[in-house]
Amino acid sequence: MLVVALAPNFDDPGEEVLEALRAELRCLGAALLLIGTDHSFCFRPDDELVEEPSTDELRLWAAQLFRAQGVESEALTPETLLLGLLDDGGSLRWHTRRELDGDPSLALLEAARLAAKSALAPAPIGVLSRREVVLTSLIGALSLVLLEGCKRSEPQRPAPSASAVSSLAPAPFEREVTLNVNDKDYRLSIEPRVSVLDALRERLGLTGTKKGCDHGQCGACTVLLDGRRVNACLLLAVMVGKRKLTTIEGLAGPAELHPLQEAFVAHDALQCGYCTPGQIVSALGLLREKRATSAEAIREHMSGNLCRCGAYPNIVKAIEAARDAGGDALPARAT
Amino acid sequence: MTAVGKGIARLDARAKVTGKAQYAAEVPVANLVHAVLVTSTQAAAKVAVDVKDAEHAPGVLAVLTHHNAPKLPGAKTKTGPVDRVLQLLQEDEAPYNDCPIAVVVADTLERARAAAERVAVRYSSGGVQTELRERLAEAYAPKTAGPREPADSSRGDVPAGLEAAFVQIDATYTTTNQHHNPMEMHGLTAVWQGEQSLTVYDTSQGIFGVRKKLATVFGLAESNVRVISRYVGGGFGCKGSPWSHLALCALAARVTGRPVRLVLTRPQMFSLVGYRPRTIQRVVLGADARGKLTAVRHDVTSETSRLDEFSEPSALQTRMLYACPNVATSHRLVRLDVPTPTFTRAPGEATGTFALEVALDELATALKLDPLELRLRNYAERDPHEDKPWSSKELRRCYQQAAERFGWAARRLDPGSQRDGKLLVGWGMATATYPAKQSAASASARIDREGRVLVQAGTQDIGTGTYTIMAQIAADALGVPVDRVRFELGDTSLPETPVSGGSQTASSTGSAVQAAALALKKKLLALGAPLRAPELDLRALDAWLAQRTEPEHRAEARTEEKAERKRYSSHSFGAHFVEVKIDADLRQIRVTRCVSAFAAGKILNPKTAHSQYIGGMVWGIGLALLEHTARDPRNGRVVTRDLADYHVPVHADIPELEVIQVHERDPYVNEIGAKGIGEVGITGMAAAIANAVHHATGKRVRDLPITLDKLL
Amino acid sequence: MRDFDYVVPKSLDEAVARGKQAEHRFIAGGTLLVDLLRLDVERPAALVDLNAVLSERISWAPNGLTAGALARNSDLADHPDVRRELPALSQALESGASPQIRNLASLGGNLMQRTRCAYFRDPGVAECNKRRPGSGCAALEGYSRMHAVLGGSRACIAVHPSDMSVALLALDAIVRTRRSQGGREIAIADFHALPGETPQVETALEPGEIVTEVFVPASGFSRRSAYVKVRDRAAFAFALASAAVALELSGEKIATARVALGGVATKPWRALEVEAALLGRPPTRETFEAAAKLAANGARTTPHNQFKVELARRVVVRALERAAA
Repeated sequence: MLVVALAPNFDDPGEEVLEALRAELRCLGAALLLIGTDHSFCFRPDDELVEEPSTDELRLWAAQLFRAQGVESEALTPETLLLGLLDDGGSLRWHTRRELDGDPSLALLEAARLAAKSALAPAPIGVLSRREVVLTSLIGALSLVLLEGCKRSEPQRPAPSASAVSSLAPAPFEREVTLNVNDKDYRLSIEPRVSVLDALRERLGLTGTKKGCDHGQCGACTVLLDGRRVNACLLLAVMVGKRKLTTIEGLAGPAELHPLQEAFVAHDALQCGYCTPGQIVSALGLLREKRATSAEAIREHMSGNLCRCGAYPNIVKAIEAARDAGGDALPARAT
Repeated sequence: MTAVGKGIARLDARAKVTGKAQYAAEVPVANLVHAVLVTSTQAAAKVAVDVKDAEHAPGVLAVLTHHNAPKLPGAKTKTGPVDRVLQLLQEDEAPYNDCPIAVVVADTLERARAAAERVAVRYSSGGVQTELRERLAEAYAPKTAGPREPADSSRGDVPAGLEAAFVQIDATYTTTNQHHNPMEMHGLTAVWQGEQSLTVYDTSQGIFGVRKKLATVFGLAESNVRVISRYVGGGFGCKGSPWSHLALCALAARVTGRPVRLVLTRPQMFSLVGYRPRTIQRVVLGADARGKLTAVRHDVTSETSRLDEFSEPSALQTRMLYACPNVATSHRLVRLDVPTPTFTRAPGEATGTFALEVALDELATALKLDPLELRLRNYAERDPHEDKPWSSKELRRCYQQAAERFGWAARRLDPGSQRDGKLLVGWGMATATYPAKQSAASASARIDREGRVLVQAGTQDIGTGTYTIMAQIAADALGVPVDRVRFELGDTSLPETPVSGGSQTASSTGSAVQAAALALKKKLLALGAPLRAPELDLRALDAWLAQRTEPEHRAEARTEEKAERKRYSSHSFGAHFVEVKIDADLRQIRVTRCVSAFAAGKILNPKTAHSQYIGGMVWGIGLALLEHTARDPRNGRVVTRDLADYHVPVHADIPELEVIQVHERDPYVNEIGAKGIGEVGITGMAAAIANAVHHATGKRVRDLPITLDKLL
Repeated sequence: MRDFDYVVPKSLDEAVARGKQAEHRFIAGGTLLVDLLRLDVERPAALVDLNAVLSERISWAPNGLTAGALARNSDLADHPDVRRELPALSQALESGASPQIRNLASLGGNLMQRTRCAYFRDPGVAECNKRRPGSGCAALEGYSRMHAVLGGSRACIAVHPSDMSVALLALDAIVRTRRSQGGREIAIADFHALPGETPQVETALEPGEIVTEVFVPASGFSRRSAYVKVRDRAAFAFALASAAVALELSGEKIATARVALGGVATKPWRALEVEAALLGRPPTRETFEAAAKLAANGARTTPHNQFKVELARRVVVRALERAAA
């Protein structure tokens, strides 16, 4: 599967949009070929972004592709984005057209989202694969590097959906809440049983807060609630109210790390890294409690944070170093 | 400007301390749905599953059971000796407790979990046998001890050696189930591209094994399965083999036509991903009056499942660790209604050194000899089992340096003779050892016109520092600064490498990375690149690269164990010196001080190496004092099924741990001269602690873990 | 975890009324309830949030401590008056759970703490009289290293895991509650129930009754109190055995003694025989050892938990030594 987009020139879409695009492309199992006036991107979600000059041949190929579906790309204004889903039959299965009146990256993302949704519907019975032909024409048009990216795609038609998606199932207790995370308000509609941890990880994409046990026994999910450390797995999101949550994502400044993060790097206070965000946020809570008075005290008051790799001695050293460097400050943020 | 040997900070540390590192269950995928496993509550049982309630629960897309799951052609096929037999809803059986019997897929995690709770199961069960001690009569000899070594060994004449002995020790030691419990639970996201192509984002110590397994189970070409595992939240052995949940998640994705994420719960981690089996080990030692060993016997019995064979090779180190003419060892297995055990940090050596090194302590006590002196008197100058010279062995220096730093000379011989107020003080020591291994591996290296180096190998970084040391190796081989090098791993579309286990990543993948970088350098030199050591002029190199027409230069390499290496025996060695303090009344045991020295060939990065060593030592403390999985003998169900009941060490259990990295040059072991350090730290540690407990109290505990009730 | 409604009552009376409805559960800190919800041990139709109707206030007066039911464990443990006047309470709270949990867990919730019996916590086990009355007790013949040696019945030997309640018992605390008929006071010794034939009944509270605050009287022994806990790990573990003791000395003699045990009984356990044996004796190790021999009188053990009898004696001695020091 290949997502082909014809558009005027794109600037760098930015990491946030790229990350969201990756999610859509992973769902499709597809690469995105974005053909701009001057530059083309080949973007596979788990590989490097490859940028190449757009060639006439490439644009011609794309124009033919859309023409076969009755869309004349030449007739479009330069402010139009044309995005199609190219299946392994070598034909466009689906396409959409959007006018670029706002941020072109967002329009691209929106189109990709529609494409991914469309692919989840049962697919028509396809013809035999002609993807080799398609790829060959790509090969002619793109550089060697780009080719390698696309060769891996092994495009295939997605499996038909086995059962109807019951996402419209009633959710009688669902309600709107606003969570303030790292000084930013997030509105979401959730059932009362959703924990802060699952809200952060599964709904807000803030996966820095880890799930190590889901029962308050490991500390990997430690966040600050109004500046005090708590287990996000034991806290229902509906109960947070106006209180402020601070997660690992909120510690570093735009350029520099928080002193605790610096100290963890310097003292190799991590190995696999999975308990690390919880250790750091818990350590911040500890420093704010002013109880990190000795190595012994740190060990006692950090015992709610398990580390299976056994980085404990280095974690204690890192906390001592951060304490001595005045690392108890909450991150200062522009409001 | 050599990078190897420098303690540079972990290159992946920034991603990890900021929370940006994405683990398997965190990779964003659109239109994702969630799967939850339902597991059995009985063992050795037939199951009938009623899914009516669950199917009608809100948000449910599918409920798979043995009644409706698609038949999988390769469900039962083992893809190699360390592969496991999986339970993929193909039969109406639950051979062990907490065996997968249904998969529920729903649009949110909460709904999948709630629906899973509504799956009703009826069991018909016969008798359940889970007690190792009760089934010893059924013990049999496995094909091998561990993946390769023969189950039994014998040299010399043990009965004659015992006959000639001045002192004999004959004791039985037992170790319990240990569960890896990495902080990141097993989880994955599976996405199908059509019927024939699958991508999984997994947390794995061996992505190529996962690829092979999924390809086999679903009848796919391996090239159509891509496994990505960029970050692994701890492994310790339980992420080294593909397990049932992996294929079940892929199956759920296939049936629903949606990307599916499945994460085990912490209780499920106690039955679905292996564990260290219980062992019963009898050790018989004979020695002359001066402490010279005249005979050693070490007989190991451990448990395995009815489905599969895994042998904890606890007597392997006994074959080679000490100079003794008469040595016999054996490994036996008992089949029980339990899940299949698996590799756990230093499989064999972790438990085997406990038995052997405590037995030696008992011998030293019987001879009124200093335990360190006893080891020195039996020092093996060459491998007595393989009858080969060591490729290198600085164990004597390890003993000396650690003992001196610890202050061992001040130790009083008599147990219970050292006190600190209400605390009994005990000092114990033991030897550490783990074999150096190397497997075939491949890597690629490339440099672009801007002078950026990209080195790739499919390997995994399970927290050991692979990202960092590979960049260091490549930088040195190519002759550029390490900040020019980016190392990519964790993707089966990259060159193939072995499993990250057996302490072999540095030696195996490291050798391939070095070879690839050297091949690239050779290519560049042939083209006239100004890349001559020792004084590299980066500006000249950049200028040269910039004017080349090729967008990049690239080389690949594959390495394997050298023929020359087979003439030598290669092991990492070390020595632990431990102080414990035990409350005289309450009997709470605390490790208060520990000095360990290790020699393991070239140390690529002393900072990450130090972390590996202390990590192993912390595991040793857990093994010695805390970790125990209790199984209910009535139904084989794990009772200690969470992190409150299964005790891994916490901060307060771990004192400052001192590590001495003893310099050791090994020209034979492999291209980079490194032996492997991930596992040696745990070996010997439990014995050193047990010996210290004896020294403090006079009580010899031969059954792990040494909890305070055993000292009351 | 089943789906459930979430209700925020505006007044204490509304909360009481809500709490009386079928399958409604109160929630305050949530550290216990959310855990049990996720285990599928608790299956309520609705949660009634008490955070808006109860108080977090901690105040010390000459006659004693008054703490609102919402007082967080960490705030109570850290309170300077509690540290000074009721050391056993502060020490018990500090020794429980983790700092993260103590920051969330409330005083009222801690009083209502449920057992850690692994069979109770695992719905995959059919037999549990606490979870499913009449289904049997898997622990009696099962793995029972953590289980109670005192106060058990043929229906249940689940241990009461609290640290704080043990200290409150030694300090003669009074639990104040609200029910539909109004407020009442319950002595801590009467608050927790023995399992008997009804292990599902764990406290003296009626349906809908809410703990509003706890009063700990200042007494001649409250200041000279100590809590000692023995556990497998050095921190973040439940007690194998613990003791809260309080002493009032008159000259060279013990005038009043309070000894309560944790980790060994089905509820916080007052060791009255030990207390009696201490009276009138000098506060010496010999006195303590002789008295402590009575600590686990009447114990019924299993092969797994037999050690708790001896351990309980020793932990009582240590706690008495600490209080006397």
